Amino acid sequence: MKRTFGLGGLVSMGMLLSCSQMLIWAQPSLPSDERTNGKEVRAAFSEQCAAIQKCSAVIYDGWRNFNYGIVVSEDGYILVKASELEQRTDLAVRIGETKYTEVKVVATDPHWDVALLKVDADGVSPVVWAESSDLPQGSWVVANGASSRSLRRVNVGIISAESREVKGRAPAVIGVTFKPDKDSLEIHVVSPDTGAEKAGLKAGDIIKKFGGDEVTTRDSLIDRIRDFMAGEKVPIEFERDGELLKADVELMPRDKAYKERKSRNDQMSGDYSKRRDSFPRVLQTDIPFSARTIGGPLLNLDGECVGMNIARANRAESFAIPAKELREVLKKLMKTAR
Amino acid sequence: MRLLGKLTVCMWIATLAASSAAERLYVNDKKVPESREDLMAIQTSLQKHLAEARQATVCIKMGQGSGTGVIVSETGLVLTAAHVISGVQKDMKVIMEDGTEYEAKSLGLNSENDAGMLKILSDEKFPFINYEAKSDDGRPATRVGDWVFALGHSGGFDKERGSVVRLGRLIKVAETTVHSDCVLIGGDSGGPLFDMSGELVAIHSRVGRRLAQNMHVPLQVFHAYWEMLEKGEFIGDGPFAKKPKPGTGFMGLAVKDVDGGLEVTQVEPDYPAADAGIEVGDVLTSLNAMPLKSKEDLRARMKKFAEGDRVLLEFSRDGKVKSVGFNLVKR
Repeated sequence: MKRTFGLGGLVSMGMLLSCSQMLIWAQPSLPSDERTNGKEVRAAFSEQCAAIQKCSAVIYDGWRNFNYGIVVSEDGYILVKASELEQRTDLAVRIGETKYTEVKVVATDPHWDVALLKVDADGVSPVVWAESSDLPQGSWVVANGASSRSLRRVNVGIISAESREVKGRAPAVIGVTFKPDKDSLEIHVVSPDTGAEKAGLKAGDIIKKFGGDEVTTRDSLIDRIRDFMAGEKVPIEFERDGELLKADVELMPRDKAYKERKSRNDQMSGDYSKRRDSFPRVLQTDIPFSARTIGGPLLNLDGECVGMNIARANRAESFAIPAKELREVLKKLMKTAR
Repeated sequence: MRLLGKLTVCMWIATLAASSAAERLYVNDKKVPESREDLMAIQTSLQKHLAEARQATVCIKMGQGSGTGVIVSETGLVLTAAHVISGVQKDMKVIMEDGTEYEAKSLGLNSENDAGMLKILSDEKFPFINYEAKSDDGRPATRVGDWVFALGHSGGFDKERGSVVRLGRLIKVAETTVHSDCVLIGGDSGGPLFDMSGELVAIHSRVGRRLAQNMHVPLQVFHAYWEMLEKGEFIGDGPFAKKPKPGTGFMGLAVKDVDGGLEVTQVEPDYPAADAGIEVGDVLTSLNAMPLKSKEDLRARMKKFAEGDRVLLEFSRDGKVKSVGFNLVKR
């Protein structure tokens, strides 16, 4: 029996299970090749597919490809989704048909969740930037789908909602909660198996400095945390019994530190990106990505880049960083590199 | 309750293909789009109708739940899914694209195929989608393979984001359900599915595990039951809504027999009688315009009401006769 979900959030599961037995009237259904992302429809996007083939990079951990990237220079600089690099041990990159196994992570921007990679390439074709990334809603957009060793497929959709900021909590955490009644940084509970516990923090400690900066309120601390990625070790100072102590605390992805129950919408969403919120501005698309097909360029029908696919948010929503903001991020990251 | 006859539907599919061919997007009659020109034709049609479609698409809030609906008359008649309104005569809120909120009340629903209707309680004129299609028999032209777009408040209302549009094709067309690959999620329920002529063709209902499994209630189901829905009838026996059982309606009052009626001895806080302003000491004289003879009489008559039913209570306080109306709740 198929499982179905009601969409209004007002129906119980038992009822939904029983509604999948409805008879389907006998008009033949549309063959999968002819569906919106079917093989035969994708054939109409052959020009854009040729562009994707050149300007998207496939990112591997060993032999397994886990994301895409955007080729931004002839000598092998590539933009990727930063949080997807966490705990990858054997990075490799394929541009065109060539696989590069020497990969340097040059710089990262935790706010936008973008990292800059460098491989030793020469004469590869960088992405062509679109003049404007402000496409009207309903405009076709093209991105990476699945790929084989040498061929990238496209994954198509439209701009599906207003471009906007997507708020969220800090994506990385140290693993403590603070006393709920007052806005101080006095630790209430230290969560087990987190950076805070490993660094020896205890309930009652008061955090004074984070990453070298003084912090006094929760907001000021969260602001500083946003400058770091999960996996980084950050020096902190804290007060215990009137004494000032120092420690290095490792940041963890929020979902790993706190096991939160999945919402019903997440249950029906399958494979979404670990980090999917807290972006200063996004374009929204209805492209049916998986978490693995994120990271590559978002192209218009001219094959020009209007953004970078940054998160699979859920079944119905995918986010991209607009090209305008992405190019600013790239400039900053390049400065770090050179 | 009889479902729409199979024969009628077959005939409908056959006739409308011919009758409204002139309005059909030409790409619909190709197996797949073949060129950039074809792709642009789809994009242009969608964008042409998007603003109007979006204006008539509303978020429906009831308790903790949230769904979508589409306004189909200037007076604020809204089509949605039965499981969004979950019952007849229920109070809910409707939120327009710009964030303006209105009170609304559910009308009828068909619990067998997930069709529901509600009414915005306001005298204002609302932007709406004309559901009277232009083809001969008053129904939109849709066939398997037709390009369609879905609107909905995915995951609930978000003013900065707006309602979310998705493009897809009709994958299956059945008697009481159509399938598309417009990918839906919770909160989209009750939202509209449009064809490329901007005609309303179906209302979102539910999804399966796979991305291509998105089910909608075709508009002909609404047409088949239109009058009953408008009158506020609860049609069928599930699975998309459960009929309230008689005896489940509760006012939140305790009474004792006195001369001329029933004196209130206790008012349960936060229950409808308390919210309606009934106080200890009030003497109830009639229920729904029928005199109340005794405590036993009241008890017997309450057994016939279900949660959500509306009652009119007449009572005297300080020698003055007053009346209040309210909806019963579950105990």
